[in-house]
Amino acid sequence: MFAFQTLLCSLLTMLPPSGPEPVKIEVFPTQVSLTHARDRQGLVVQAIFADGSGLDVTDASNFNLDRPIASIKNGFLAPLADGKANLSVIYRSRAVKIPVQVSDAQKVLPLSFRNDVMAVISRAGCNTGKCHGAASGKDGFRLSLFGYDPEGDYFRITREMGGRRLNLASPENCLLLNKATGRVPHTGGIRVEPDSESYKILTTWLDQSAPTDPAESRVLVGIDVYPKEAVFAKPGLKHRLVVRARYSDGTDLDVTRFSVFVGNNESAAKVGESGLLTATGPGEAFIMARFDKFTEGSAIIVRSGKPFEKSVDPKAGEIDNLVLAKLDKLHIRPSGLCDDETFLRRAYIDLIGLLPSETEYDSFMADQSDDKREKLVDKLISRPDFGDLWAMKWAELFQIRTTNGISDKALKSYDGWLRSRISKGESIDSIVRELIPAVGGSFDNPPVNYFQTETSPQILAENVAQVFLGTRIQCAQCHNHPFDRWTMDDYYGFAAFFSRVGYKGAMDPRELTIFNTSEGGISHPVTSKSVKPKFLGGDEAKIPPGTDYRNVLSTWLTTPDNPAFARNFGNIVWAHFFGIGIVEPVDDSRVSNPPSNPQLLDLLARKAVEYRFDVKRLAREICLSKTYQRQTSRNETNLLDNRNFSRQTARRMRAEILLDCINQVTGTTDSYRGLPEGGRAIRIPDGAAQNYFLSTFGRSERETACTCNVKNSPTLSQALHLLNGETTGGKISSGTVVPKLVQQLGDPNAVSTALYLRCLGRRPSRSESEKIKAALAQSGDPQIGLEDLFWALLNTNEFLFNR
Amino acid sequence: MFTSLRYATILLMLAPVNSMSQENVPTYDGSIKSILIKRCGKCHGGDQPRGEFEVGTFDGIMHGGISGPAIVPGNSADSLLFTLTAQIEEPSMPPNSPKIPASEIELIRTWIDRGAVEKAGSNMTTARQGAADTGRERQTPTGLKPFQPMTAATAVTAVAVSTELGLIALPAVKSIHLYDLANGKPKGQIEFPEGEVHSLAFHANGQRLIASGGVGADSGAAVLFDTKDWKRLAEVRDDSEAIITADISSDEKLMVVGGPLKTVKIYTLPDAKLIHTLRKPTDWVLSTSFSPDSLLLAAGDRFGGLFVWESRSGKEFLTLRGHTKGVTSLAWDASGDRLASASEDGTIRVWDLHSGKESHKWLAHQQGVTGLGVTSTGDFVSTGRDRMIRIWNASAEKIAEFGPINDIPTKLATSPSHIIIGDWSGKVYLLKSGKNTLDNLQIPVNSSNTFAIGTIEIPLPELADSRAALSAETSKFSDSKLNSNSVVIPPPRQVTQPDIERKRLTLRALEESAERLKQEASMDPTNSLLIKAYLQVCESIVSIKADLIQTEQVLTKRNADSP
Repeated sequence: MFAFQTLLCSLLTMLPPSGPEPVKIEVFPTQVSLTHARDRQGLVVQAIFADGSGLDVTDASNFNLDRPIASIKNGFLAPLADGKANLSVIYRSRAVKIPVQVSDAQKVLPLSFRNDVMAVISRAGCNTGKCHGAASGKDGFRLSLFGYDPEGDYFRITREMGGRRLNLASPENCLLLNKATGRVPHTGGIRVEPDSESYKILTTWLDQSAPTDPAESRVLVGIDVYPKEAVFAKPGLKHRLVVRARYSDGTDLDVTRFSVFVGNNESAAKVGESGLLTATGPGEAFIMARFDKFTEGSAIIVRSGKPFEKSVDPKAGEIDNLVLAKLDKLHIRPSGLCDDETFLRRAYIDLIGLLPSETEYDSFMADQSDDKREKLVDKLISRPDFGDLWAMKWAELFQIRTTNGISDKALKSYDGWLRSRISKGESIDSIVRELIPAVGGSFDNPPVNYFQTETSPQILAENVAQVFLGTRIQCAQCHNHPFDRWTMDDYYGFAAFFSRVGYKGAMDPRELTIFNTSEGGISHPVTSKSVKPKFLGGDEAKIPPGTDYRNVLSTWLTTPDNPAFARNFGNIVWAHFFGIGIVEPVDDSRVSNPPSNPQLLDLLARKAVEYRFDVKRLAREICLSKTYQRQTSRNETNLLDNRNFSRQTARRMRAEILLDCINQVTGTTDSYRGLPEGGRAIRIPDGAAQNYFLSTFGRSERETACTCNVKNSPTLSQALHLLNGETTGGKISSGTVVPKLVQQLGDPNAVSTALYLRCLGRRPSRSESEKIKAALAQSGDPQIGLEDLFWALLNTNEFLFNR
Repeated sequence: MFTSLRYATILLMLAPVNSMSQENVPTYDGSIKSILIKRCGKCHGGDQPRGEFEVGTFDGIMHGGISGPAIVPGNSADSLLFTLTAQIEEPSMPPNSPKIPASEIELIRTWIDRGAVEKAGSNMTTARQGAADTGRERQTPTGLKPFQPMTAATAVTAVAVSTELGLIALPAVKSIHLYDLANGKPKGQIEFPEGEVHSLAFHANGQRLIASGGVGADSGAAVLFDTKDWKRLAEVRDDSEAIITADISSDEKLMVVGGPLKTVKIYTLPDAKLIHTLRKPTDWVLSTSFSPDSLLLAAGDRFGGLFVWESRSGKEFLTLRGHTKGVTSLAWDASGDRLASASEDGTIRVWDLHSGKESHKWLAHQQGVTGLGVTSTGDFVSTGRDRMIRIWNASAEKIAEFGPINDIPTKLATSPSHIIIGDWSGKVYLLKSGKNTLDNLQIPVNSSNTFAIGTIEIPLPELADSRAALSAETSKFSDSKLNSNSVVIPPPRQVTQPDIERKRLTLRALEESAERLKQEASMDPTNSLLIKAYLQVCESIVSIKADLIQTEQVLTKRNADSP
């Protein structure tokens, strides 16, 4: 009757847990394989409740193995005997079965420097940047940063200083252990507790004469962190993380206790040394585990614990549904949709960088049709200004500027090339396919200027990765990236694509000819071996002899199968319309900086491919989503949310657009280098062109490929310039808008309404009207009063910001 | 039985407190001085202590620094020495570093609270009793002791050879091993309780042996032995670092030491009085050497710096620029006119001391030169990271080479009859002059396998407490009403019949499991893990049985109580 053919090895307590019944439980990892005597695997059991929240119930679950091949305590499996079995995990009414396999249960693997000793050193924090991992070491002893160079570390620990650091004849009394345990003064204090597992691993290694690893040692290929995500119902709950390392021979190992945990938002969740995390407050956190050269993360959501009603919106589109799904997880209600006036101004600024005129305002407001917003978006994206705006954005990323000997003539042709491609309707992928493999003279074939702007293979590789793949690989030039997956091999493999860019002069001394050298390469600084071109995050490139490396690269970059290119494109377009990317900063996608909504990013990437990287179509789709059309005001549930598009963000207009708008409303023009009088600031060809207003308001000088060169942060000089500078006061009087309006309309109150419409895209409110009326009555000359009003409007945040 | 156990515990708790109050009152000389020198001496010691606060002497500690008195005897809470070290007050000490070990802080606190006495028998009111008994606390055993092999071979950090004595000296654990040069047999050992041995050299035709070493980052010593009876003639100590290199002048009037502190110190002999502290080196001092006429002194550092001073006056004589990496070894020619230096940069350079110019330079070992010596015939012998031993004539021509040897050669010594080389793996090689082969010195090892990976315990992971999480609301409520001293008694949970059923079910399953495990274990008796698991299950059975009985009682009682 009780056919309990089970072994209850671990008995937590027999009291049934209280609390609600889960809809399911999940057990991580989903299979266990123990391959040697010291192999262990920790499990984490997550109960999922009807509201979508999860709870770590590992401590309250029962673990039953149907054959006694392993022992289980604290959800931690240790091998007993070889064989296969099923492990039943039971929590309340829910059960999950996972396979367990044990082999070589009695076999003790020899200690490995690479896999065991280095794990102890990394976990103890010896090789961090502020300790011995610093470029010049610390207190006379250097290790490679986060252990990117294990062979070098082995040399430095054992043989660099003869017998100072180790003493194999008295392992427990050598400098390495004396320092680590704080028995002798150590700037880093006590890093390893005597009698801990770490301490014993070190002493045992020394006792075995500090051997190095055999050449054919298994190599770590990756780590997994469990669970990948957790949703906490309220602050105060705890959850444990399990880290599993995967090796080249197919084995795995629980390395939780040797991993270093870091969180990115302690106000939502913090993580302890053992990988136990605690929800501290509502919000999101990303918890990273680092082991050896790998970093992986777990996405944590903490709800406020207050009652929440799911938002239901039958009219929501694809984009909206993904945004709402995330907001539901967070228990956040989105803000409502903005009114027509707000939408009109927002769409104008975002799509063409100008403000709606009074006539445009009137006709839009008068339109009663349901699809008037759609019609407006279609009208705006077909205006040439839309192309100009995007040409400016790409020009920033291509760093189009007179630098490194690029002459005005070459620059003009470079800028002209980009604009002509965009006005012809060419999309970014085909532009990139023309840009990256470009050869020829810098006058004849403008895109070769890209290779004159930056000339070193390393920087070219960094820029291409940052601009077209949204990834910063700079760190990996000198050491494996500590918080991402990039290693020095990846870095130099990618840089190798640019190792055959040749330069020679041309007839005209201002011109440079770029050609493919068809030989040469780049060498790895640690191994000094020549590195073959390798796609970033992909395989080594198969390049037929005689083919230009860059040709192969540009094809790989822009192929629809390259998710990074499409995601990056989608993210750049998205960020333009929200002031913040799904990955933010847009060009810093990495393991430790994950997208706030991966499903949304994937959707945009899919759309990008579907639309063949046509900015217009993607922009149209985004602008017509409810998500784009939300108000900027907050409700009580999204007060703290800045990353999940639960509302629109108020964004200061970028420098060029702001100046164009000021010129537009004051009816004035400016002259810029390289443009005829009256040209728009967004069309300035040269990043190095100087303009006081634009520099003050953070125009990108295009000195690097980083999107951070565009600065939208407020400064005191901006405020002072608007208050006292020529740009406002001077343009108001020279543009003679007020006298013209006075002449045209007569009534000062009608003029004030017209000024409101011009600058803010709305009519003055009743209280504003009354104040204006009173103020105008006080000032003797209505023109002066109205010009004062105009000046005041240009100084309002409402004017400066797109909301 | 329960009561007696409790008494036993109380007794155990009382015992150490009791003994402390009578005899183990910490004293400055007893334990505090060494802690303070070790942990604070780097800054609060020497000629110019930081904050004018010096910890190396009792007077210094009592005098305090620019922040005022460091100690209020009997009151640790008002004593800066304690509050800053415990990092209760700012500026926390040691600066920008974690606290020193808690046990040491506790000792300092106790010492202050017990009156901050200088030495056993003294107290604050009697102040200092003159410096009559400031001699060394412990007497180091001297003389030749029976040879005790090491438990494992380790890097040969020093080597010395004397043809006259017919001896090789090698480092061992807190001692120096002596081997017969003629037959390679161990002859005995001399104690070196100061720690590891980093340098060894015979002088004066074998009448003297100088040894230096210590405990890295902790303490160091250089000791001059009389080889007649192996008694200590002179000792130099360092309170914070090991001494990596030491030498004595041929007139036996001066001793020089250097190490990680980046200073070269000159002492007079035999009184071991410090006469000069030279701060020219910019990195660890790796090599020091007096000229044959004792007039000059050279030192090389880990950064490639090479300096020569007048030994008596400590006046700078020359800075020899050229090496780009650590200067590992120095050798003078017999006249003292020329100095040869070996470096990790791979080169050997010969310097003319009259002109201060480099007269020869050659790449001896591409990956770095680890040792350099002059042979009886005036040739150079060098060892390198390429595991090679090379002999060069005065014009830098290679005349012989040996190797590669087992591991990287670490130290080299020459004598009229022999060249001795030690390597990182603990092997020692002999090269007899006139012979063309390397001989191996047999180093006896008494290996003891103290450590085995299989026995290292793997700690269990920490689990999240889901029960506490689920009942967080209630506990928060009760927390606010309770103060920290009150004992929280959990409210009795209503036990139900199903609970008992569950427990019985579990118990039965466990008993079956135990039976199975027993069978498995009997089939595989060598598997200790199975037996362990069996015992664990048995333990669980016992505790569940006890729990079950209790639960049944509760239920029976309740059923009886209720009408």
